[in-house]
Amino acid sequence: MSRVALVVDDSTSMRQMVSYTLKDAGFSVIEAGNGQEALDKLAAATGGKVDLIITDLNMPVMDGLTFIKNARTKPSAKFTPILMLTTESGENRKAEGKAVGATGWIVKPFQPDQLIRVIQKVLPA
Amino acid sequence: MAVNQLEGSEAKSGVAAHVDQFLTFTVANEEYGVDILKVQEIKGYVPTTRIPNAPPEVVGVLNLRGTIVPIVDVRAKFNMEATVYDAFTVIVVVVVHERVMGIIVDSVSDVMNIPPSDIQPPPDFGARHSSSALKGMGKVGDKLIILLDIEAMLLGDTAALAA
Amino acid sequence: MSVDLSIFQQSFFQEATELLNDLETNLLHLEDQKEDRELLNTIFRCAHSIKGGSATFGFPEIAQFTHGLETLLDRVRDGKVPVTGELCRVLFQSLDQMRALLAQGMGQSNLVPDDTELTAHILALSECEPGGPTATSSPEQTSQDAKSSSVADKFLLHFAPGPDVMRTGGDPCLLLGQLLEIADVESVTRNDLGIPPLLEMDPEACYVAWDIQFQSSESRDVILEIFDFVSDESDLRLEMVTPIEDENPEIATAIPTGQPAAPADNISRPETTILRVPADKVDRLVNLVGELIITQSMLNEVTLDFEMDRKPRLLEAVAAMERASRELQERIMGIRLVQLKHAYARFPRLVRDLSAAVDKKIELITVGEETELDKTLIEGLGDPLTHLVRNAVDHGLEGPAERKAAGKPEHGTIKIISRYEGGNVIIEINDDGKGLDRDRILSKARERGLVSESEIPTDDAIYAFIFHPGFSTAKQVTNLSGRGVGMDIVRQAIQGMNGSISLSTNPGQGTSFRIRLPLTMAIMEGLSLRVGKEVYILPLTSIVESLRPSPSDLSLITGKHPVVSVRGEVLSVLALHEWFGIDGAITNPCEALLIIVENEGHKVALLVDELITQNQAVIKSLEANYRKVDGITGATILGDGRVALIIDVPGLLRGMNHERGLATRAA
Repeated sequence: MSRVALVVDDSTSMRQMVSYTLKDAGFSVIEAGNGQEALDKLAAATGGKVDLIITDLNMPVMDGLTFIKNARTKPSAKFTPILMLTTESGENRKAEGKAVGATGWIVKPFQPDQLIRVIQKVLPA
Repeated sequence: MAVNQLEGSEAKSGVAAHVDQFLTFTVANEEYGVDILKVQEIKGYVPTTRIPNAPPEVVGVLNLRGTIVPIVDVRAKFNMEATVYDAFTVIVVVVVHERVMGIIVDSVSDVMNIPPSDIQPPPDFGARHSSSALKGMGKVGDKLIILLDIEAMLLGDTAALAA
Repeated sequence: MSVDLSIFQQSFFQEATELLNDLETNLLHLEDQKEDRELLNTIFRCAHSIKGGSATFGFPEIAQFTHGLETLLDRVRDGKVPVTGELCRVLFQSLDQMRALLAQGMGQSNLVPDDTELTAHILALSECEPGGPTATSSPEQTSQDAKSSSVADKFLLHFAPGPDVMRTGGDPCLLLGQLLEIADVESVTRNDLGIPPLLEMDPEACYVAWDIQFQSSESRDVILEIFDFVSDESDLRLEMVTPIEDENPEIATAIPTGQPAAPADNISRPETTILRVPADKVDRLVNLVGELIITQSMLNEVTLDFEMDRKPRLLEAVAAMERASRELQERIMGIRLVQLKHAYARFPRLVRDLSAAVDKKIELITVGEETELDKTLIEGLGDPLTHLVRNAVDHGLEGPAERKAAGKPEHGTIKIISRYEGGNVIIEINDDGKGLDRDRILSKARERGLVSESEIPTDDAIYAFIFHPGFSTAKQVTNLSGRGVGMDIVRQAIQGMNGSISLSTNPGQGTSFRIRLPLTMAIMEGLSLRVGKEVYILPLTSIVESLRPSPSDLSLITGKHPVVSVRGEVLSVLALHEWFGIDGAITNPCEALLIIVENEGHKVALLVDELITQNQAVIKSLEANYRKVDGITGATILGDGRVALIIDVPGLLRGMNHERGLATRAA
């Protein structure tokens, strides 16, 4: 049974790239275009649980930080590794992210194999 | 009966070109013929959709595999007595100058080979048949077939279909 | 495993194009709504997304330029930089620059204006020091400090994860596992001193620490990077012990720097066009496929143990099959249909910029922009339409003073009207300007030897000269794609799409260009109605309302022209059965239905028997095999295979007015 990842980003091309990379690495992927959609999809996932969440921060309707904060209140997502997609000028984002419960981050732009290496910091291979 | 069937029978009889071939049909007990090369297909009569304020011979349009095709009643065109369409009524679908059109006839007879030597120029029928719509009179055995110039009939000056 | 990012480039291009269009629309709104925070956030996100995507998918130039813009917009949305006219101008210029860069990235052009000045301006506005962040950041965080070493260094690591590390989804063991991959561990000491008694223990907290002695050829930064996520909250100390000479030096392996892949030379650009399809179009297709499957099983059922007496059912099934598959084919073709509004999208901005440049007040009105055309036609129309609009702004419309003197409103109006007519789409570009100067055109034609001195061509022939190559004064050298365009090119482009363009003009009142494009297919939302035994279709967009009048609402003007009063408005009643010569229809409006239709502000009430239903009608040409019929704009095929004619509302209105005009003159 493959692991499930939730990818949240309002940029279609970004989502596609991340999803593709994850699927290539053996994940099955759920996609969402903003934080609210992500929460809905999280609730609808089997057991309300996913194995990994990757989320952008700047999104319409509900941004990334709010989404992470909300996700952490769901018992099934309490300890799910959550990685934020940040930009190199977003140093303060990293601290803000951790404060609302993010596990880590990956800085844009990144290559697919970098993404995989970062994931290995939060999920066993 | 589609034109390709005719090709098949042709191959058997070894007749070369369609040039002298005519599809013959009956309207009000008279035999007519049209140039086979202009005939696309023959279909059974189906009701048409009326076009507002159209000339009397244009009875309407119908849907032929997605194309809108105007249908002309030969009887109305030549001011003949109208008739009730029945199960034997046939629409001959022709293509003239890239336009697809249909004419309603009583029944279809056969494909006949009528070489030019057997065709006489049309006599003057007076008001009943405007002679420009006729190509000539074809003689086949004892029968006289009225050969129509389908182009002139449907698209000629007196015709209603000229754009 | 290596994912080739170029496969996402198409997706990025389309996304970026849409983002830039959205950005433009939002910037246009910004000028009126300077304080709207949500708008500022949306604008910021546009730039942010483009920056992120362009850097990720291998377009460093776009990323570099957009970076400065993003910084500026971030400060604008935080309220640190005010929204001024100057800011808006810079933003519009930046938008154009991004478009040019994107076009370059897509291999469509190699002309990109130099943006040094613009970038400096952006920096100035965001109050950044010149020379602020400009370089594309290297994605590999440690590449600057990558110190590949052929010697292994000895390290001592003290790692005491913060108590909350696991609460945010972290796992110290995974991190240690990563360390193991790059380290030859000599000794590990686990420190349990922090573990409290069981009753006081919080199972979600981390109390353990480790001291690890190891050798690694990696640099300090690489080793510490493993603990990036937890370093702030943990006690992390890495010491290098005296270096050890490696007896077997290995070839240094460079750390993959992971530079963003530069787009491989512009040769192999994927040819695929991406189509955006509304979900409901796809849904209808799915339904059709369902129908097809049903008819297929009908066929199967009938042909099983077939007897001649079942022939009618066989024919029925075959006919149903034919209908369903034909419709399927048509709808799949219809997926390529795109609304004209996409061709018009750039015009509000264009008119704004142009009218500002020439100091004229101009209003742009579009009608019928939901008319759909095949995607390639839409794309082909872009340049010709743009040129016509520019012409109207530049030459057609007068300045406010001149207009006032002529007794016209100060605001000039350009109208772009599109509609279906038979198997064609008609696009009209009208202006209420000064019209074409017949004499000037004639003398110019004489100058160029196109007309001899003695010849006096007809007015139409004279006006047609403007389509002659080299005739028009191309004042505008660059349009959005940097090419000069003349009226002759416009006509060629239209003819290249099998269309035609004509014009009519009225000195002092305005000019109208009429483009006719034949369609292979078009789909229209319509309402079917019945008059007598005949079914007609009305375009949904022309319908205002329907009602059954009461006798008191009806009256006759001059004893002849029926009218109906609707909430105080008096409308002419057009009885379709009279107009179309239909027998057996209901003649009393109070027992039938009045459908109020509208075109360009004119309304009329059509008398019909009843409304049937709403349907999507695939427009079929009546003219292809027959000819134009007054009051009818084409035909469609109903679900049962019958033909229904589509009513031409503008045509009806024109015909009605003409008749009334004749009647009143005769009266």
